[in-house]
Amino acid sequence: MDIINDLPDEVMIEIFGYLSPHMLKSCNLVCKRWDDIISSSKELMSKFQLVLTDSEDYEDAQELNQNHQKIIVQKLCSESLDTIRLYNLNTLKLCHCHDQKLSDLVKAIRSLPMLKVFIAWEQKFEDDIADIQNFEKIRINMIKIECVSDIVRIFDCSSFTKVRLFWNHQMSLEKKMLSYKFLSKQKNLKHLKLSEYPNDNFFHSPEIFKKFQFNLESFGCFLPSVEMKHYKNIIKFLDSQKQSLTKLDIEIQPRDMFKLEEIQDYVLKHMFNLKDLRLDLSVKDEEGPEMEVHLQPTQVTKNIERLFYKGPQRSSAKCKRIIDLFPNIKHLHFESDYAREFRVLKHVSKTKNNLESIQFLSFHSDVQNSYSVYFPNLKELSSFAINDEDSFSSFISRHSKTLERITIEDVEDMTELTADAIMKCENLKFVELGTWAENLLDVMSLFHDISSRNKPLTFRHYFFSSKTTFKFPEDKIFWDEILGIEPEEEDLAPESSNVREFFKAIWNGINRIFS
Amino acid sequence: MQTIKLQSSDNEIFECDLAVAKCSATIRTMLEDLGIDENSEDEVVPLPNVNSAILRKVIQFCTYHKDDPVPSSTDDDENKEKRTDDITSWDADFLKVDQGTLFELILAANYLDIRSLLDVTCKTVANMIKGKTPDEIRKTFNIKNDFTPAEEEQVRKENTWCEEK
Repeated sequence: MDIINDLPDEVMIEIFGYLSPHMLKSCNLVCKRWDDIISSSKELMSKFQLVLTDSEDYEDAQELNQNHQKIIVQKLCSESLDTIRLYNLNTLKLCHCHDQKLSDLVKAIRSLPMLKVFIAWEQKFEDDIADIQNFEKIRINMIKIECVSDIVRIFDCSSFTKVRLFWNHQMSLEKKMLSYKFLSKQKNLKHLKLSEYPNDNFFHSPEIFKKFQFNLESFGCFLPSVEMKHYKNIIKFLDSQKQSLTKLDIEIQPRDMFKLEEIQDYVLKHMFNLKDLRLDLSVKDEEGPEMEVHLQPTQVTKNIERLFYKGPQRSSAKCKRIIDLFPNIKHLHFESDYAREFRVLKHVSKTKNNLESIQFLSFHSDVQNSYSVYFPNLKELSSFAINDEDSFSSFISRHSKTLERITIEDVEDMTELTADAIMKCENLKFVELGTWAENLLDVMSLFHDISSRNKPLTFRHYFFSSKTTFKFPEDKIFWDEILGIEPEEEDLAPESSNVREFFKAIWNGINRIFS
Repeated sequence: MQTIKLQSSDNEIFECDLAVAKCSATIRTMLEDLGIDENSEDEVVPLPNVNSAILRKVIQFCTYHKDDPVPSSTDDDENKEKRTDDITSWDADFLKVDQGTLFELILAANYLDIRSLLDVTCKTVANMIKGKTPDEIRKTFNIKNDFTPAEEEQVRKENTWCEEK
């Protein structure tokens, strides 16, 4: 047994942190896990990167061996190009290069065959920049870049597989049209994600879709306040991509539920290749009229394996009917209110034997006959709270042979009952518990024999004190996701180490979701 | 001298100096944020991830190091390669243990957030890796090579930029 591989990733990264880039390359070859850890750690990969800020750096860099894969150019100078050519690059990052002459650099980049990722930030591009080829992936922050037209020109001939566009209301229509133009050149695009601010609409004209040459495998969009006249365009867009799409994530804040129904209707009747569907058609106004469900199971709904449904249905009967449309799902995530949720869960357990993962809010104390809820193949359980512990712990006990992962976001109500049930799960590999209350010690003490288990178990808990106010670092998400740039520590300005820990825990969670 | 009671996963109670216990940032945070009364006699801090044998070692380490100066901020050496040849002889002796114990100490140091112990244990493991070929590393730690020949070739190919010509 290789005991070293019981150490968590963060510790392995710590250990690898003491090794030279050359030794790290040996470690890559030891086993898959080591290779994964090293290649996915920003910190370790940064050992292969070189930050160039002034001419002395360049001189030093020319003397070093070529153990760098990545160069960050913070300031361009006459030595830049020679230095960059020396290295066998696959990543070049340009930041803070204001008012620099870039055309030569761009020419140099074009001659580097390994280059895969190009990140530009607050970069002014000049008119004479020619196109760049061989990029596979791009992250562009459309807000910060002043000359979108240049960006589009630069990347016009490049081929990307993944693009995420993040627009805001300050962007003029003209700039957006340039972005469409950019998209229309992307023949190999597989994954597209759109995030929009209110009053902006990607779907404002069906003419633009006709020019798209890509066949997407996954498409995600968050569209608050879609205008009435654009609903049909959304459907037209989906129709143009229906052959290749296997994953669809639509989140719309509706204005008109009947239009929404049209979208839902289209998706469920025509998108035959979908495997993974997330339809979040939330209604803000709880008092609004309910949407009628008159759908029948279709070939589309039979193909879906993963479903996240958070629809406007507020009665359990309707929620059941929606889920019944999907006979073959293995992964189900749904949200309703507690009591209703349980009725739905009970119903699902009767109709879906092959469910492998389920996510819901919690068990409500009003529920009766909870023992009837059983999924023979359940591996993952994720819930927001415990609420009624008898039902909750007996649910876990019933699945003790199959459960591998348990996540409970808020363990405020937890006692030995649940803790014992969790510890008795034979094949459990991962437990994550969070708490908002100050009862962490109590909860921890429930898990006393954790280290005496003969199978390794990753156990993670996080908490923060209610005394501390905090601001969720949305900006950090933005930076990290869109730009791949870490914000400065002080930008986040956490008010205490507590908050920092909480962020860390949240981040672990987020990374898990994205990985 | 103020003391505090720590309870290991196998329910053994250790009484140690408060200053020693506070080498652990995790315990420090618990005491501060959860408002445990440091003077209270019967307060026991449960440490469900640490067994008694390891907790004993950890307390021994912290007792020896409790008066060490807090290392200064590490901003300046960010780009330098971190050293592993600066382990003191006491620490080296302390860490002459079998691999299992060493890894358990690392887990405990990580969980309890004891920077100095985590540093020195990780350095020790790094030294066990240094200068070895992938195969030698596998032998040292008894790791199974789970790459297929094709996958191994792929990783090797991705690494070629670093091979010296």
